[in-house]
Amino acid sequence: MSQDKLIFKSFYMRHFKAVNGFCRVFVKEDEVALDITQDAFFRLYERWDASYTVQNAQAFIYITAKNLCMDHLRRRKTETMDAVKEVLVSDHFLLEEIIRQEAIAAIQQAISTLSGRNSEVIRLVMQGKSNQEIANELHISLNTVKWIKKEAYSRLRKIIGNEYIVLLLLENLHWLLENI
Amino acid sequence: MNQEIVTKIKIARLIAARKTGLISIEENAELNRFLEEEPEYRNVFFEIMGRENTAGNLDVTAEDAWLDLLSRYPVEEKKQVFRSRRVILKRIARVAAVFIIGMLPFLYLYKSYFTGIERIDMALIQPGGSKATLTLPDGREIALEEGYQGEIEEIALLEESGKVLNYTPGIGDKSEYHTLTTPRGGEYIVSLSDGSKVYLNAETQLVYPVVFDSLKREIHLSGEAYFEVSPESDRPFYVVAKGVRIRVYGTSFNVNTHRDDCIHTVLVSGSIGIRGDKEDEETVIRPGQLVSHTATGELIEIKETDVYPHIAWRKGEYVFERETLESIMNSLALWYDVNVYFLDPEIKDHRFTGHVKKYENIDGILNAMSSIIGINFKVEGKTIILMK
Repeated sequence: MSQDKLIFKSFYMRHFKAVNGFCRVFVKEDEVALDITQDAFFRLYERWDASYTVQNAQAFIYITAKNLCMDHLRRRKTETMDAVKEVLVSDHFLLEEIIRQEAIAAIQQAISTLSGRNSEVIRLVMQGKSNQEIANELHISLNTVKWIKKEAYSRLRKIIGNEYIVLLLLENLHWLLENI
Repeated sequence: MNQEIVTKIKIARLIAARKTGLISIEENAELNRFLEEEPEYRNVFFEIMGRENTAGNLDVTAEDAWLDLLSRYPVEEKKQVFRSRRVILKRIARVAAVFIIGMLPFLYLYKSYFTGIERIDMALIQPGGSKATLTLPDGREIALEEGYQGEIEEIALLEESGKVLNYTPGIGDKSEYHTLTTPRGGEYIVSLSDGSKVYLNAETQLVYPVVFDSLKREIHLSGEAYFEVSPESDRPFYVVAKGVRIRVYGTSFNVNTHRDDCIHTVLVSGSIGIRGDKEDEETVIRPGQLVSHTATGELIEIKETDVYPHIAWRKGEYVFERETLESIMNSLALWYDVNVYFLDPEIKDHRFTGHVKKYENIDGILNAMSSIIGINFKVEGKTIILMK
């Protein structure tokens, strides 16, 4: 597997859920939304090369997904006659939806990369509990809570930041060793 | 838009970091600064922060989806192979789409909360239709309206229940010019003596000879029209629109002089050459290109464009691709014959993407816009007032 494709895969893993969620906002049928998501990513892959930046890819994937959804709605409108009258979305709506989907996907990813007690701690953090409250609830020491948060933080850095290849290497090390 | 998407994805990550309590001091400051500068995104921020369930409702994991992608598309093969498979997939998607029916019967609206919109009297505001005025050389005016059929001065026929004005080839006087004018809220189709067809949008005027002379065909346009020109290699066809002269080699294209006091020409198929009054040479345009000139004939730009939004008006809809509210309302004002007034000028710059049916009443469109970005509107007679 080439490095380009590795980075593409990493990008895909990072953004799939958000883009799919974004498509579902427009296209209510899950199957069709998935088709559109995959089509959009494949179009991205077709133009993916070494000069392509992650920023280019982020803009491309959302604009393409939006266009494919709009095309679908327009096409379906003619197939079902007057089922759908009009579709109008503002830029603000699109950008707000991108924030919503990306934030939720990042939160999910952050939690899913943690295991057992670590994810418990973060779950309680998200409920707004203080370190002491978390320590009490999980019957662990205050220092352990702090340590777990520090651990989780370094893990999350890779999700929050744009360090695609690093995360991918961590997650696919065994797979990489087998395939190189 | 591109940069905005990248910025918003970054903001999303900061929100995620804040939500999981793992945000650095600098990042927290950055997020606060963003919410200060772009308060319109505070709602989504508070919504995510307040969410109890962040598990999402997506049953498909990214890993499964990746395998699905690999099985659908030959991601590792050469690019030529992709095309054909993609066509197959598109077909499958299309077939699937045919089966999906009966969803969302009325307006397709996102976050459509219709609260706070008063019921308003729309009786005076109706969508446009086929109507135009034909002005003869002696100054007489003939109202062309839907439903009327017949002969005009023995040189033209009204056809398709009054929607098309059809000139008979070879009959009439070369030195005579006719003027066809559509009012606001009108549209009309004319088939000229050489068989070329011109579709006039609202508030448009076309001046043309009853019979073209033997050397060239030349017509004058102001407003918006779509042309389907019959190719004739030895008799060029010219469209003159304000400060621009278009030479046509047999083709279809759209010319619009309504917007921003400019002339926008979009080529759908074939080939045309355009020369503004301020230019020395003709520029040959390819299909899919949009050329813009100032009213005085200075070239502004030539760019690649999605053709459909420019010609959708002919197919009974208006398609907007990231257009400002101001520009959308200008199009609608012409078609629905209304005046538009912005009480809060800053809302003019909101951009919309989407499509609306042009033979429907305007309130559907207004409701859609008002529910999306919280714009309110008031209708007084034939005036629409838009406000925050």
